[in-house]
Amino acid sequence: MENLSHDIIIIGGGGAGLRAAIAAAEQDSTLDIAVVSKVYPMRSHTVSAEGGTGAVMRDYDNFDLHSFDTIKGSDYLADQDVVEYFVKEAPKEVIQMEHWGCPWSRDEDGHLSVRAFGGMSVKRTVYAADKTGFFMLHTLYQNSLKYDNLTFYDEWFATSLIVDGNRTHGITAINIKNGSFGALHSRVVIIATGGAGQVYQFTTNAQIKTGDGMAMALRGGVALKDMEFVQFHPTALPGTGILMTEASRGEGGYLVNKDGERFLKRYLPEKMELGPRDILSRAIMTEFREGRGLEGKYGNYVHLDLRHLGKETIDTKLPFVRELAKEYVGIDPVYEPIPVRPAVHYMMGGVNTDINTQTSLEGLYAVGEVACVSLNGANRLGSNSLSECLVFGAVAGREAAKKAKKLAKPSTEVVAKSVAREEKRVYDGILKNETGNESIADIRNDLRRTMEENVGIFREEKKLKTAADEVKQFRKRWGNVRVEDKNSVFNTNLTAALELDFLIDIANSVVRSALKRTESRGSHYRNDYPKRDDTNFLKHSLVFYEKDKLRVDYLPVTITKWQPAERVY
Amino acid sequence: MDKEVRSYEYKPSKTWWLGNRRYALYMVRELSGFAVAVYGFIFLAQLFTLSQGPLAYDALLGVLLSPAGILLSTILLVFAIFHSLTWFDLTAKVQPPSMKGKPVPRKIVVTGTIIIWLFISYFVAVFIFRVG
Amino acid sequence: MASQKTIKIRVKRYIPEKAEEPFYSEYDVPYSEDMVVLDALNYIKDNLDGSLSFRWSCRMGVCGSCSANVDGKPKLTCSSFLKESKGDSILVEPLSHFRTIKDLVVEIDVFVKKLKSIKPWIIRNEEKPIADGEYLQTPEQRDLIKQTSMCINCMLCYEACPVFDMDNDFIGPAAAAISYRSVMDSRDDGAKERLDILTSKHGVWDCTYIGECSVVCPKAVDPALAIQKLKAMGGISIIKSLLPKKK
Repeated sequence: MENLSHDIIIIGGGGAGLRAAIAAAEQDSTLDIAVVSKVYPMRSHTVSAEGGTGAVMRDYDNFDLHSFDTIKGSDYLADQDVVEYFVKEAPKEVIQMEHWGCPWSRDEDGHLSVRAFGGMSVKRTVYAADKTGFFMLHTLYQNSLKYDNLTFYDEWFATSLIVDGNRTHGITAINIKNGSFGALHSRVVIIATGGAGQVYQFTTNAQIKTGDGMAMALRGGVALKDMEFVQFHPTALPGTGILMTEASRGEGGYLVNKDGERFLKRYLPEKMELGPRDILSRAIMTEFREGRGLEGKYGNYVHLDLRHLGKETIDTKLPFVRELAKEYVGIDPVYEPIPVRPAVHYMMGGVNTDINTQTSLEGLYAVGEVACVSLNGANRLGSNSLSECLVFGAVAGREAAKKAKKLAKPSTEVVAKSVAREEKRVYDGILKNETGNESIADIRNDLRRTMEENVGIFREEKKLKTAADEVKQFRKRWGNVRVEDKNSVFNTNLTAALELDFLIDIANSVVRSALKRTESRGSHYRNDYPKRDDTNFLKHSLVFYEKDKLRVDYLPVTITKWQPAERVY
Repeated sequence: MDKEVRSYEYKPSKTWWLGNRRYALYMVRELSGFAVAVYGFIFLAQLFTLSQGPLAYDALLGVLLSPAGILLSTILLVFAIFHSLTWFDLTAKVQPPSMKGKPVPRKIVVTGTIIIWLFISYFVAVFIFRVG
Repeated sequence: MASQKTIKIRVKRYIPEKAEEPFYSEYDVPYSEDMVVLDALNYIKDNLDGSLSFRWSCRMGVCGSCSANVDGKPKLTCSSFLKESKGDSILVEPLSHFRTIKDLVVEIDVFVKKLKSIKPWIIRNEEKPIADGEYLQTPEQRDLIKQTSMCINCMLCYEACPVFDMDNDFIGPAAAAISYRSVMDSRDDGAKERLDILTSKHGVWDCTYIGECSVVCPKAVDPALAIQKLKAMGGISIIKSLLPKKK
């Protein structure tokens, strides 16, 4: 085993990871920084983000308004100091991206265009057609190639954080291309591995989103925060779960039930299609339950109708939606409505960090969807996540750069011990386990189905308990998992087993936190506790890993100017 | 951790261009470039014999007007026309002229340039045969 | 249950630890109208043969991971439907213009190096502070970079390019298209520098305009066109540099 060493290691090469890498590289050119990613950075899931990036860009808008929209959207579970910092920084980051060449859509006068988005009270979502994430990711990646102090480890799979006492010393990883295992030493680690949508059967998320970073942090002793809050995007294609961007409603699209009725008038008469995602998803599910959904091969759906927008608007503002609908469901939105249903889209929860993206471990930072800096609370507003990657990615990079100058070198001893232990776990315990007889796919499918059925949009104690019991079984079954591919080169069978291992921890965290939160807030709706309960639950939940079990604890919410009020739209 | 693994390299086959119409057309176009070059060479030869006096020129003309010479010329002509057409097609793609800010459709540009080309060829022919 | 319709998937495999040469494996996969080749590969991996390796991620045609030759044509497996195939079997092979690492996985670091060599970031003579806002760009100016900024780095164009096959150092369609996008960007001052790179050895002059790259491009980037335009610009730039400088 060889030892590779850097000052800062960033796990994940998506929007947040690359923004952090660039910020650190710019802050101090003497720092040696590495980005470790299980896919080539331009494959990261940021690439699938469509609608846009929220930021105050116009005279009619202001920071307080963006803050308030975000806080109200979060059902008052966002930390308000974090929100206030975020809204002030977001426009600067959007401009920074523009200077780096991001092809934002433009108005006639040459300024950046903005569009309407759900839960935003004015137009403030900057966009690049409906491929905003794609353009941002490629801009960041192409820009990152200019820094000589940045090294990329493409297709390296991180398996664990190396932790000793109260600090990190780096990570252990598999070089997927040749199958070798070893450590990457570093003073500072930034986790930017994205969310965990793959824990559900039906998701807009890419297959790589398996919660690796969350699980690694949890095992390293860091708490996961607010894990019960899982966002269902109201409009995904049935079957594949491919996202039909919220921008299609921002540009004026309608949601229609089987009677051709814009049913949202019964739920959100003021906001209609521009309501927040949690309420819209519940409204659609209610339509299904009450028999007003359409029926298809993959169950119920409603229609997303864009026909009245006309071909020109669709082609200039929503070309990707048209391309995807034509390709995957054979429907041209210019002439026909698109079948859609809610699908898991985003984890509000994640690695618990402070406003500076620092975790409870010295030298460990987390940013992007993997983290919970508490910007999004119980429900994220559309277009805040891309801005979050930029704003807090930059924070993480700068903070990590400062910290790397202060922290001592990682301990070779600690690293050696960790690598030996981890290599034994992964290679001897999993890859070479000859007696394993549980199929990876079977456990994964069962896990995802359980989560879909029991920890979905509407939750209740009985179902959550069923899920908790089943997750225990999945953990047991995983202990007996069979990796069929015994080769070392590009063994995606092995990485799938490791990803499943992570997913089970994520599922467990979601279920545990959801069981304990006996109220309804944002995306977490309990049939048995349909009211928000500020007396007992105006607080973040934390889950800790203790002796192979999870312990749930709480943390107060930071309130600055906006006292919790009833969330009515 | 950077150990080399044995990766596999496919060697291109000699007949790779036969499997795809575009590749085949491309090979023909490359070949047609050769035809254009031969035309140029014949023209140079004509100029040279002309400088050597009418006898030399007539001798060459005799060769060119023999059945074999005519056959060769015909083949060369076909290739040269093919080459020219692909050129017009290409130009239309690379530098499409615009009208009122909108690019002119490729078909119109290609047809237009071909018409201009025929027009010029006509005048050249008229010029040559009048002079001749 | 009525017997489910199946389709035969033949996959060209390569496992360096097992054999020197590639070999073929055949699998019977349940068929349905809305299945793509990637679904079939996943069915194989999950149910028939866990050792089959291939890359994929977004399964919506935007991450660019899942390229392969499907029945001899370079395609994104996530957007080639089984029903598009005429026979009762489908042949899936790795891209052949790159070295195969394992099964359908090929070495694309060669592209990352090209990407870096063309300096795909904005080059400016003078950077204005963030506080001064964005560089204005009209929708018409933005339209000039629209098409070429759609490249998802899927490598299908390199697979379609015989020139790249003969010479791996050729800059190739995607990298050239991305560079064209930089040259055309109203915010960029690096045109001269970029054209110098692109017109040097292994640059755009090596392109013989076969045009197949543009045919296989799943995002209609038209790299062949971008390269021809770069040739024109490069030519003009060279002529200009030969002319005596104005005083």
